[in-house]
Amino acid sequence: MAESKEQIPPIPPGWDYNPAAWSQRIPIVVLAIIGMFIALYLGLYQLDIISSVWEPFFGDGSITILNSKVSHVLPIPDAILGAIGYFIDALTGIIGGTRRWRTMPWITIVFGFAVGPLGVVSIMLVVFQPVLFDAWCTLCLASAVISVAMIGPAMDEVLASLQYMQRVKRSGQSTWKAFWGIKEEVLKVA
Amino acid sequence: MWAQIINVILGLWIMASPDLLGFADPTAADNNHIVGPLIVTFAFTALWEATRSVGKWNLALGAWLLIAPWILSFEDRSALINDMVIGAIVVALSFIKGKITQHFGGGWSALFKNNPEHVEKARELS
Repeated sequence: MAESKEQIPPIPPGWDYNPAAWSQRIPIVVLAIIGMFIALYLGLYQLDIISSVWEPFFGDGSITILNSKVSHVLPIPDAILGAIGYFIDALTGIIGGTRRWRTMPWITIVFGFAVGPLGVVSIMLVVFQPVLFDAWCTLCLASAVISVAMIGPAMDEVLASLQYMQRVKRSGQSTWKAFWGIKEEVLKVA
Repeated sequence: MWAQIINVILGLWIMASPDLLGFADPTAADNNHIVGPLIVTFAFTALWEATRSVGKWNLALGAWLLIAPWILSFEDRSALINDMVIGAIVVALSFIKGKITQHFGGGWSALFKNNPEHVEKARELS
């Protein structure tokens, strides 16, 4: 049994690499930050802070989509929501050390949920726009590509955390305390 | 992995084909604009070994492309042939799992097993 967090083996049992290593996480964080800037740029256009938007391929496509009724259905424009989403992805990607799959499962699971299910929803909202408005938007598609690219590399860490939670449950310890990374609980279960 | 790469390309084609082939039938175009991105998302996510099993979800989407022209009664013949041919290839490629070289403590299915790999290994450690 580990006596301190530093003694926890970084590689989860039954794995041959650490899914929470920086080399695994940095690329996802970089993608999220790029996505955030793209979304922010589109959001500034939607807020009328900038008056035009870059669109090399689809003519009036970006303007049609960014000014659509659907994109303004909420109090804040949808691209700003997207930027907030990417910010959450980047933030929950960067928080925690390289053993966080075990020392703070909650952040790994929030990260996985933000990148995975919420990512898929945002991708679908972006790509269903041609169905509704018969127009395409280059930067919206670029943002969707970034969201798609983040899912695969992010999910392994979620799996390691879920497996850890499974071991906690089987050992009869408190899954609630382990989920929030209470030190005594985290050290109890391998 | 190559099977998933081809499915990514086929998904992109499905997404773009209504415009590139000039589908006359708006239902067929809408169908492809929805199904294409989903195929791309699943196939791309399946490029990573830890989430390879997501590629199997394209089985359902490929099968849908095979039957959609009949269920939605596509009026456009090129749309019908396009979707059925691509759908059949997507279904076939979804079965190909490819080589898995890494270990993931028993993977996602471990979460529903009584004595998965990661539990065994953790017991050896303690």
